[in-house]
Amino acid sequence: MNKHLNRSILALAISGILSSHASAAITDIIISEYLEGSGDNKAIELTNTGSSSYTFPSNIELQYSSYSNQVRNPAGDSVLEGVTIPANSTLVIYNSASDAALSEAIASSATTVVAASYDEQSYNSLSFNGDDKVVLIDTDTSTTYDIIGTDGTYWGSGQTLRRRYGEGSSTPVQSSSYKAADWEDFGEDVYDDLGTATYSEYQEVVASTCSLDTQTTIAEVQGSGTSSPLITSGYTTAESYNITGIVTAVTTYPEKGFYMQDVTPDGDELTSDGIFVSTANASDDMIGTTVCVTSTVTESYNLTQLETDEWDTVDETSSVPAATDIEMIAADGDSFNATLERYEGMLVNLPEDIDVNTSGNQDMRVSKTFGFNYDTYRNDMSLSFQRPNLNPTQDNVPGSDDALAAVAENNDYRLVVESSTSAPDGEIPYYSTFSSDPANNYIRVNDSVIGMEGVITYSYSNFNLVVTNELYSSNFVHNTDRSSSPDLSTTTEDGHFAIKVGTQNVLNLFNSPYGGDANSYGDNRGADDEAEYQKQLAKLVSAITGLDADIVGLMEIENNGFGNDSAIQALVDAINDGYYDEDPKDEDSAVSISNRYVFVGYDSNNDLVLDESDSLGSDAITTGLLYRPSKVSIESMSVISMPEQHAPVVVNSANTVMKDSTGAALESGDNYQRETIAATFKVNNTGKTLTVAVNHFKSKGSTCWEEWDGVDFGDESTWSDDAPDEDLQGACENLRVAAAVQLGEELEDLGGDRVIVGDLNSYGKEDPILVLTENTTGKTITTARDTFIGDKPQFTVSGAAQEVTKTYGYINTIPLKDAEKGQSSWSYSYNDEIGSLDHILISSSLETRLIDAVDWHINAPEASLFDYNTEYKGDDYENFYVDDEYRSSDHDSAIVSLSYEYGEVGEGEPVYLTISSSAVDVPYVLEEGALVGDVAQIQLSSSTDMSEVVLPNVTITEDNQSLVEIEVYGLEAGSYTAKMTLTRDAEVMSEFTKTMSFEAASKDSTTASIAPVEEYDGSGGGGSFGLFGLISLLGLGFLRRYKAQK
Amino acid sequence: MLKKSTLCIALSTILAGASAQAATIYEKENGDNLKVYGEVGVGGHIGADYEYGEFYTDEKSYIDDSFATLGLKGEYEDVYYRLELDYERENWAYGSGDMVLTIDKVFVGYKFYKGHAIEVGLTDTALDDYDKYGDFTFDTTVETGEAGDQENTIKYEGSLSNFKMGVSYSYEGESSSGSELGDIINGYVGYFSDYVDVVIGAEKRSGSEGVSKYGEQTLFALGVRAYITDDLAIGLNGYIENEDIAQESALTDISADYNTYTYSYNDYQTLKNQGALISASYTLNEKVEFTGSLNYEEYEAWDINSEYGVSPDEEYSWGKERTWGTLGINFKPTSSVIFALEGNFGEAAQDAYAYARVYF
Repeated sequence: MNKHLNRSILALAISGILSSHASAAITDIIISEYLEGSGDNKAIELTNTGSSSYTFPSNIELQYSSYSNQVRNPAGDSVLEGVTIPANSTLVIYNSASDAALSEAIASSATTVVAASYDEQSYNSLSFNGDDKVVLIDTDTSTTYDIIGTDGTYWGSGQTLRRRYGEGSSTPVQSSSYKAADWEDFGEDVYDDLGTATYSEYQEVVASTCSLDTQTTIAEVQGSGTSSPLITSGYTTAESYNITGIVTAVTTYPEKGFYMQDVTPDGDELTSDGIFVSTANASDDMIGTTVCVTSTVTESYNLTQLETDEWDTVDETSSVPAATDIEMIAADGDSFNATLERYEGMLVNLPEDIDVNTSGNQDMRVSKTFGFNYDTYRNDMSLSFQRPNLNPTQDNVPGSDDALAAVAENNDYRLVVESSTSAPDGEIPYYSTFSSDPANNYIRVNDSVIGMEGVITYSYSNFNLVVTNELYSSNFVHNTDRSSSPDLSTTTEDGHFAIKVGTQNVLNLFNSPYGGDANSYGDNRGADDEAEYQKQLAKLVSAITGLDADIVGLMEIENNGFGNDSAIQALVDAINDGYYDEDPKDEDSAVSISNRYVFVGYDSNNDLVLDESDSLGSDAITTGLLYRPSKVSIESMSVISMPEQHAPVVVNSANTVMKDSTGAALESGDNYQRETIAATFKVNNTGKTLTVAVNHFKSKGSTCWEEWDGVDFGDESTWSDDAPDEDLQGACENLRVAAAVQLGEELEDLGGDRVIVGDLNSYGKEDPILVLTENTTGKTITTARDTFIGDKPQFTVSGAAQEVTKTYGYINTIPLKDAEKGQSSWSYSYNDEIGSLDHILISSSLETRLIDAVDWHINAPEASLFDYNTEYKGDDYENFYVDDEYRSSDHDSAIVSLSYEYGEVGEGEPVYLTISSSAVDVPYVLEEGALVGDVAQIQLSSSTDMSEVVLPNVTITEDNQSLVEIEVYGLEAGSYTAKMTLTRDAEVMSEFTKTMSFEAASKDSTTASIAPVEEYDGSGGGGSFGLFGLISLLGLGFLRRYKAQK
Repeated sequence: MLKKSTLCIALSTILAGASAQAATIYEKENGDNLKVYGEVGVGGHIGADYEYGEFYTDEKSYIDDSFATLGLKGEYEDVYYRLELDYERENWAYGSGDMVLTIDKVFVGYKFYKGHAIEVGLTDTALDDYDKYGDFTFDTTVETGEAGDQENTIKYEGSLSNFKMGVSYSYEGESSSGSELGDIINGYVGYFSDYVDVVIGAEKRSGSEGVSKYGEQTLFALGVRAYITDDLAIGLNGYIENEDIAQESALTDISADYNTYTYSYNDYQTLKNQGALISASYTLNEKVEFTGSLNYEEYEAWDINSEYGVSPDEEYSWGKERTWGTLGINFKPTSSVIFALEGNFGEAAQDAYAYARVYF
């Protein structure tokens, strides 16, 4: 049976019906010529086959591409609206930037309309390039009246296609499906027939010659190698083969066509039983039928495929075979690509366990959740075998063989998941409940995907799975599921407590357009409107509240100062609104005001007023720092200026400044990064201090001078290629190294216990991390050239890049703890790789205090569909928004817990206790052995007035109680010495007696004020001094010796 | 050979005119006395270059350096005292440029043993007397940055045979612009003969500990005079200084009248400065004398290669070190009057210095 013959008869019948119309209608208008020539030579000829003129109403449009771009004139209006085509005449629409030869060649009898060029109307110009369909469509009813071409394959590049007559030289009629056989190509830039209502000769549809007698199996076509054994030279076989298979899927991506599988598989697991047949004529009704195809065999960009528009249907009653589980076998070695190669063209299923020979389940993991893919320019998803792809420099030294091996493994393990038709924004064509109920049907990075079926194809250098079945939430197993709080241990020894330090990226929180203070850069990188801003704020509040850190470093907050209308004040206010319970007895409650935060204010313009003028650094975004006055008290803060680069502008061999494609300097040599905030806190209830530095190093995105060093531009003056990145650290790693050195040095000067938090824009083993921790890798690490701190060269006046051999010994807490837990650290997802850009490093002095450190995976694993934005989410965008923490930013938060002992003293510093509600809780840490009924007592001595002081007796309530907080009422701020005793049966138990010096002070206000500057650090003074010092200087030291002998 | 006495008179005229001339108000037979003395001078710096950081303004190429001193001094047996007022132009860097009246010296001294005395009050610190000992010129040469005059100073000076020494201690000293320096102790030991004089000096200060930009400092100074002939003398003067200067400051307070800004200073770093000169004096006759000097000076703050030096964008025209010379002529129509003109060449802060002084 030949379906095509039947269709032709049907078309003839329809044409007969239509041609009986007395006057012209839209159904009389056909696309009669298509011209895709050189440069901007683009034209479409429409012919009115009716008997009277036709005027296009507004709802009839000429569109092209899968994006349904309306073709407009240079003024921006539809090229068709109001245009009239007389009977049996043509309308020629051509690009305004076409060669004059084209427009001059149009027959004078034709109506002409000039369409916009790309410069005039961008995507609404007449700018197809041979891989876009062109349609005549009714936008009211979405009825396609006529079509030429198909999307995604280059069917029309450089061609002038003229419509053929119908069978029996009948006038061609409209068709809503494209058939290449209906058109004749006359080559590139052939204008001689534009504007005349003429057609090419009818070409008879020849029946397939597929012979069932001489058959080749699909397995024989595929063979066991990576390309077909039938191809002996080039990419296509010289002869055609007759191949029969059951159609398993009809797809339009990567190319229109169908997949078929051997009716009787050969049982050889090394050969695929399926193959793709490229054709524009495939239709869904073929699925399940058995067809015989005669075709040469082609390797098309590493995909073995057949190409034909003709086939014989040999069995309409057959059915689609069950999808085959993908299974790794010994012959694959370690290569998952080898596994997929064996399934190329087949209908497969992703099972629970792909490698049955290895213990445990090896399944496919989501490596990039559903979202836009800049390689394919489509919404899709990426999976990886066994685990999500880790960024190669997360666990490997940049540029090392191990890192390159990691890249190769990621490429090997990758499987891109596509839909047959392009996924509209916010919708997954094969997972309908995703968009209707996203809160319960989310897909996260590291989800196991089980039961997904589809056909294996190859595109853009990756194996693809084009999904064929409908999926449900049960197909996605969340291995790293959402959790409303970080899984952080804060368990301490008795008598100790935990201090938590976190890092939080706030995804460009800008409040200036919505009542906030203006930033001095006139920039808004955040929410587009007030509603979006409120959504963004709500999500961030949920995130920071959930993080529940005592000190939080912020990145990407608007740099609009510290006034009442600053972004950081707005954020703190919104967070603190959730802490409303004022009762002292509820201070441990999650909603107690004791949890409130205050920001660290910096008087950058040095006028002693904290206001909107106090912006930080030279970017529209900045870092920030919040803390809980109930847990720590500010001692001082400083801003650490970070290195900026002032290298020469990049030039070509003729000393001409290199430009990028926008006309700007390719690399000016001037590169900046954000300042670091460092604050030193007193840890309440101890005599210890803790310095926390919040960082946001230079990004990997835009280049520095070093990226172009060694690039041979020749005499080119414009460069659009990306800069090379051989060591895989992205751009500007040398400037980040300079920043790490600066941070290390400055914090070393500050001394004490230090924590580095923030977005260091460096994965786990990249150079800046090695500098801040240790470099036992042997890697040579260098700074950027020409780095400056302010206007001073950072290293030398010559500006030469410095080799960095000094490291700073910090401990990278999260990988350390994750290693103990047998898991990877990651905080960011880029393309389909994950890794840690957000770090918490502690000085070695804090090593024994480290309890735990974790990433809180609320953002990186989530689709950006869940963020506050409303764009690119389709009509159901509201379904995605919940005022929770998920996708509150693009970076995950991270948090560390550190252990402190109540009453612990610092280096000569008294214990710092805060006065709250006129009382101070003096911690009395008890050794083991206290019994119920024992009484804790306190005596105080001080030069401060203690007339109002009430000293209570506190009865022990449980045996071996380790801590008694003795609430002393009426204490004024000042220095005290406490003697604490335990009395049993009126007898003092001397082994429990403790003395402690403490300083009582008011708790820091939750209304921000200027943070104190660093106290005098003791430098430049306090050395040996005195008469004998001078005598020694005069060389008369003998006098002193003499005196000493006396 | 030479007659040191002639030259010494001339030098003392220049360096310590007050001791050379005085009007006696009374003098008792036992030696108790009260004298008034002083000086009036007019003149100034010609072709002053602001970049050198020695002058208060960039607006003028002639900087007036007028000066007047009026003092009282007296003795009661072994106790002596002095009150000295200066009327001077604050023409130095960060100065106001105005003529101001200051009390330069208020002290009481006690000669407790022959050749040994102690002074208490506002007076020259010990090294101040000899910081320029090897320099025969008037002005515009390498200056040793010792503490100068200080309040709250106790000073001992004594001599033995050809040796002389002095030590002083100043409580909470201040710079010429009024910045806190901390406690200062300095002193010298000198050997004096007919052929050569050698003075070594040293100073140490404790620093302001965050109150001003000045931290700890250590200074070594050397002054040498060699008397070649009766008319010709050669001098050598030099110093090496390690001075801690704060690299960070932050405003901590503004007074209610917005006139006083209080800063907190931190991150003191040691900067090394050194300088030396060779000078010569030639006496043509009683009225005419020629002087000259060759100078070299090096400040770490000038060095763009130092972590604490000036940024390359703001590098001084002379770089991290400068050399210059002076040539001068002194005309003394009487022993109490001197007209001086000194011309500079090389990397000097001015083209010339001209002056007329009358001592009484």
